[in-house]
Amino acid sequence: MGFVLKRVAQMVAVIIAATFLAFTAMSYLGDPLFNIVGFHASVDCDAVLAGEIEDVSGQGGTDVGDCEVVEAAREKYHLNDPLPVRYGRWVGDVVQGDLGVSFKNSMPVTTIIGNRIPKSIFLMVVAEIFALIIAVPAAIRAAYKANRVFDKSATVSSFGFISLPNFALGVILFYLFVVKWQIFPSRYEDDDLFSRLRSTVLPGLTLALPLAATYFRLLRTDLITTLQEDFVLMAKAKGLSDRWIMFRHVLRPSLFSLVTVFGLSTGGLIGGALVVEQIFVIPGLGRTFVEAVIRDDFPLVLGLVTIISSSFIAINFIVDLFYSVIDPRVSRET
Amino acid sequence: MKTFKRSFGLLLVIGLIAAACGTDGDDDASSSASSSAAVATTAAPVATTAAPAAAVETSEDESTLPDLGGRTVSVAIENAYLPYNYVDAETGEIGGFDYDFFGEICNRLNCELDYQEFAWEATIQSVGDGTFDTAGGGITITAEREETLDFTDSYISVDQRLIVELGEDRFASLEEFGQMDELTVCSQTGTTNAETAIENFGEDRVVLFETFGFAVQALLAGDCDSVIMDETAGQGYQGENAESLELLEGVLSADELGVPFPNGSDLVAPFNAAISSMKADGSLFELGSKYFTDAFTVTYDDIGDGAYAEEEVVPVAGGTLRLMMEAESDGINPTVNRFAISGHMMAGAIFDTLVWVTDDPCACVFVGGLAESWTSSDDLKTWDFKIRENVEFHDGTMLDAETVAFAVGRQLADPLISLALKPVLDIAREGGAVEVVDDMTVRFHALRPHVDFPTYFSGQLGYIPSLAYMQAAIEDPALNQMPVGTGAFMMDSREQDLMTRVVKNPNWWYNDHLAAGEVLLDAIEFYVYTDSELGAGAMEAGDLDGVSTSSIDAAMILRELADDGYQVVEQDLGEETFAMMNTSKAPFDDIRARKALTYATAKADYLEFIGQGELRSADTWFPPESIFHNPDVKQEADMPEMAAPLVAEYCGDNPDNCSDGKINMEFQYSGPSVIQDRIFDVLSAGYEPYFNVTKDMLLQDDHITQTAIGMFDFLTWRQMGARNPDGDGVWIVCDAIGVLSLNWPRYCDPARDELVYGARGNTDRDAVVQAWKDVAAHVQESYTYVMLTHTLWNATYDPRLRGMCSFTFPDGTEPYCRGTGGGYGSYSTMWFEE
Amino acid sequence: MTGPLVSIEDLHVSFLTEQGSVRAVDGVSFDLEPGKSIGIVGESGSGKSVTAKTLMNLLPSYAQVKGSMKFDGRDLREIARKKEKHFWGVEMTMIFQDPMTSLNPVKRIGEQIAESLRVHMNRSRSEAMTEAGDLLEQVGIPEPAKRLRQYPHELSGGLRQRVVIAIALACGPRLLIADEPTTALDVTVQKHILDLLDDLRKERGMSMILITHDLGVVKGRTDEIMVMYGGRTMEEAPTRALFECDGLHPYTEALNATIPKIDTPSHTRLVPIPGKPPEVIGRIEGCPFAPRCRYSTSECLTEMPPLVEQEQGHFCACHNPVGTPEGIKAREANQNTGHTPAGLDMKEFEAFAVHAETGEI
Repeated sequence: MGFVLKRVAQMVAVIIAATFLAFTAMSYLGDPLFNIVGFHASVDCDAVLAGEIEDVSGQGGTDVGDCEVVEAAREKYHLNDPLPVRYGRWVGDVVQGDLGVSFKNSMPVTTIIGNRIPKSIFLMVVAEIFALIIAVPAAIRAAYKANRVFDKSATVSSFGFISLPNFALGVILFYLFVVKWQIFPSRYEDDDLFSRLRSTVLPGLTLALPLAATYFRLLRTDLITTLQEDFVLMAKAKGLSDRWIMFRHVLRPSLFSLVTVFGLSTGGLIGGALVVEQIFVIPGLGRTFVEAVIRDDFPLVLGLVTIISSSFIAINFIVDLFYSVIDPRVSRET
Repeated sequence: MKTFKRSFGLLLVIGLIAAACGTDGDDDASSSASSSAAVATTAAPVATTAAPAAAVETSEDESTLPDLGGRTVSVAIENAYLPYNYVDAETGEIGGFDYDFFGEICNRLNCELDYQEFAWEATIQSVGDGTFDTAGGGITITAEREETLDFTDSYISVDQRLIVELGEDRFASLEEFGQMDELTVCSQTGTTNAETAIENFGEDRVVLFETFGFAVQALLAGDCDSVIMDETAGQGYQGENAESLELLEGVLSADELGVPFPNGSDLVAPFNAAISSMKADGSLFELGSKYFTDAFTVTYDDIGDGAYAEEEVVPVAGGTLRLMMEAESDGINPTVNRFAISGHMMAGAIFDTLVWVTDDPCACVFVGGLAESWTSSDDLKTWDFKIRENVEFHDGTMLDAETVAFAVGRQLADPLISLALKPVLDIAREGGAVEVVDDMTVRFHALRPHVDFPTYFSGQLGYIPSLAYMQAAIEDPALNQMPVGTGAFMMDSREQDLMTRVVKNPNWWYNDHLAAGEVLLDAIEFYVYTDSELGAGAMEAGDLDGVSTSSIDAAMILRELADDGYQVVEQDLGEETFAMMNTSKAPFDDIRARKALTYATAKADYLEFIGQGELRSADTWFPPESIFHNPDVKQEADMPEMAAPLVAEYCGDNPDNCSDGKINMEFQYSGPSVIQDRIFDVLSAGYEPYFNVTKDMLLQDDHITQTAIGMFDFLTWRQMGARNPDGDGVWIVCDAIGVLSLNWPRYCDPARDELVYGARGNTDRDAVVQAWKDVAAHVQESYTYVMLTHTLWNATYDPRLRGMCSFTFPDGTEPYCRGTGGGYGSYSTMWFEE
Repeated sequence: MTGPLVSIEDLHVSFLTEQGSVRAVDGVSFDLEPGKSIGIVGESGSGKSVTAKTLMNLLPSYAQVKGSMKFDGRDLREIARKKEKHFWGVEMTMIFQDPMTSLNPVKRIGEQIAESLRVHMNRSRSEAMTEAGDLLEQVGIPEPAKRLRQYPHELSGGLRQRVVIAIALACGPRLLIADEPTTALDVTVQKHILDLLDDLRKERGMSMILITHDLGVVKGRTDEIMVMYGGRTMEEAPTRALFECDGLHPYTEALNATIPKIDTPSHTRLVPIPGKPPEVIGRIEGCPFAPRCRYSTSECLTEMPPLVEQEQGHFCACHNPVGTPEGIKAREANQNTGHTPAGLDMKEFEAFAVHAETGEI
């Protein structure tokens, strides 16, 4: 139990670091006030209120009344407080489950994220499943018959997929399967599980292929290494079939590299599938994140950073746990 | 006189033939030959020779005709060829020689007639293969036709003549006409007339049309020099358009008309017998007088399209329309969210505006929408809008003045909107610019006399949501995503950045005015595709029914879809792209610098590399098609040699703003964006010899802010395009300048203001048009903008979609529809044809 | 059943590598009766492990095998080609040198034992586990039930090797091949393991091939001994006969001389055999041991001596076997010249001489 608590404490520390960094960055690089009071935010209201600036013409421009509004907004959103205080206040809200309200359309951040997370998660799960389905059997086959035809062609193709930028792959798949052959829909359809699966196939593939290539290479190498071990020879001497040996003796000890990278990539997919989300019109966290940053949508950005970094850590935590499942020599404390 | 002689001559011919063809069939050939020969020497040049008729069966007894026993004879008939067959456009009644002629024949033969409307083009073929028993329309007997058809004896001889414009002085006879190779002859396809024309004048000089009517119209319009026709039929035209047309001297050929049957038909003999008997007893002659003389007064204007009428399509209700939006809107509450194109797309389905605008080019003719009517004070500054009764919102509440006042008031509370309307509404007035006079009357106070004041309520300002909704949305801003309006459609669901769905409002107050009595579509779904090319791809894949984009690359993809039946419409009448300078600070506070920049603008390169040859160059606001367009204003550009001396002079006086003899300037634009980067590269390359161009790329929100507060030197922009130019006044008046300015270049020209405000308060439309033309001239002289292009919009729709521009106002006028839908109410008339 | 259990005749095994063909086994023949054990002795590279692996069908794909191998009258190569599923690990099993690496580190002991039972003997899970427990007892592991659930890294070296033995014996094989089974273990443990093997063998009437580089391991344990060098059989004899005369073959004598004694004080240098192991690529002219042999003559360098039966059942492949007139004569000749015909200095053999002369073996 102490082990779990320790990990949770680590998680919290990382999240605080990440969000504080984001908070600071957003404060200095953008102006939260703009999203609240619009144009008036850029005006030097202190000067206006002090009577130093006159309106250029009687009718247009920001007047004292507008600036009073600006000041009120400043007070209301505590924008006059120093940064650490504002941050502390934000943390206090988060702990109570309030991630604030988006500047863009006043919707609660939790709602916005809540809407989009399922799609990102679904996409991520599909992508990883595809990646594993492609990579693991291929790696097994390739390691088993190393340097033969299958291995060589699989290795070459894996280089291809790793080096191809994923937007290129995505667009190619889109034009072939959506426009030309009309097999898949052109956008995300949410009606039922089946249509959701259908609309996730292509984006999932786009993400999966480069991942699969990496997984393939890692697993193959580890499998080949494991195959040289004495216990494999022993197993053969026991008269066990190659298949049995591969799946029951060799695979599990060879999973380390794969599992490590799997954890990292999955964590990265939570918020990082932006390009694929754009091409296939999926309203996921990646797109939302970029748009929120561009629009200086403070609360939304912070909420996203919190969620994304938490997910990342959680996933890698699970991965760490999984190590000790694979190899009992690794204790959980490691 | 001429006419009489001709008709008389014809009658003589008919009469003599009739007489000659008396009782004995055998004598036909010889007697008609001899009689016509006789006629030839005595009659006027109308004479024709009757061609030998086909072999004819003798009737044993002239008084007993064969009895067809009530047999049905099918007759292919155009119903669009005078004077043989036509349909009265007004009464819908059929008439013409053929009906009487065939009718009489079947009277005598005891047969039934089954007339079937059929286009001329395939008629000969169809009789030949037996689809029809026979056909009407004054068919000439020719050797070629006789290969597939058996004709009866000739019943009329007909000359082929040319009709020309009255007073034609280029030629006076057939021979002269024949010699002038550049002159054209028009005719109907598939007729012997056409063949004759080609034979006589050569294919190059003959132009063919689907019907005779079209050929004559072409002649009247001057697109043809003459039309060849059967002389009997020519009478009809001559009669009605005597002022415009006349017959040319000379006869091209003479034909015999006969009734056609398929080869070997057993109807030929009986019909011949009947025709003989009609000739014998003079009834044929009577018909002739009825139809081939002045007595026949029906003209092509009086008749309908007959076989050429387009089929009436009946709209079918049902279906979901799936449209693409290029961007997502922050929300759909008009009193809170500022609408760009996507916002308007959705709002247009959910809301009605107070005022509607017709398609009159002046954009100044208004129809009542949610506001039933309005009156203004004499000084055109106080406007009372009477709100329409019994209009129900989607939430069941009713429209009233309080709601309208609240809605407009809320919009005015937005800083940007209030800035835009400060020159228009008297916001500073004690009590505000908006007043509730009574339950159904709202009063607005304009700042200045304003003739077209209602125009402001035809846009976002005129969208009225329900009061209950507006108040609820203030408490819970999440409701901005689910608005409540009065419109043809109601909100159903919305998932931002994915899809918004609206469904048909069965209780729309306007339903009684719709032709179909109800909104036809079941629902509309708006999908966000931030990349238009992908949206075009989705259209191709069948996932969208409508796409509207200003991206040239996407347009190119969409154009290809036209081959598959998609309806593609492009127009560039709505907006201009231009560059503008900030005149409130250096260097562009000096007109020399502004002129230099204008001259040095590489517009040709812009048109080539950015416009890709697709965009029209713009010289001034308003496209050339607009009545407000000033054709004398030409955008100067691509004249770098003229920039040099100005730059030298300016830098001499202002060395601080220059380095290396070049003026320093910042080129601001919004990014990250590939196209904006490209624009920067193309234009700054042109400026390079005279300006030190610094790149200033900002995120969109910052870009707009900096522009509004005047923290820029130079940038490119898209704007204008309001149909009523007063709507664009805000961008150029002095009042719009402030710490925040919507007059982006911050250029104040009191004379220009006078023109704008003067036009605003001027009831003389012509003066208004002239005033705006003068404004354009002033704008050019100020050298604040460099006009680049008219933005090209492509709208592409599914082949099955109909009714994009069918919406009409109760008084029969129509809203402006750019052929692409999107005009007022157009969603309510759209439907899918299966 | 009559006839030998294992019968190898003229076995040649070579590996195709980039440098050429590597001869690992160059004409080895022997028979093994049921219930008997034979020790195959030689240093690394002598071909003893390869011989074993060849029998067990554990060679890589680039190995070329010639000659005949029969098990109970059946052709082993035929069995391999037919991919019989329940032969290897059932009739014949093998254990290897390092028990740590022979066991799968991520699988529990019990599972690894039960595997063979489930695959070959069709036992259910629970049946196999129970039997596994019995096997652990048989190999002398205390608290077998607890051990079943442990992982290899939780046991000591000796226990691990016992586990390996348990695995090998699970299906009741008729032949057990043990390749250096004690080399990786402590000296004290070695004896226990070897004793265990002996006991089990006798209990089950199992044949055994014990492969080692250490003559001391097979002394007094196996029924027969075969000494290999350079892929060839140098000497083959019943154990007693071999040790009575300390080996007829010079190589055997040398091996004897290098056995460390239990009472040798620690830090005593181990006595190596002078010279280097032979090249394995290409053919060797003459006797492979000649370059290191103090009994060699020039004849030895050019002609391979045939395996000749010197005494009843005692074979030796040498021109000048130890203790024979030829041998004595050859040695004296070399001592006179001070070096062997191959150029090896006789001084290097001085340590040998000490041992030989004390007669302590």
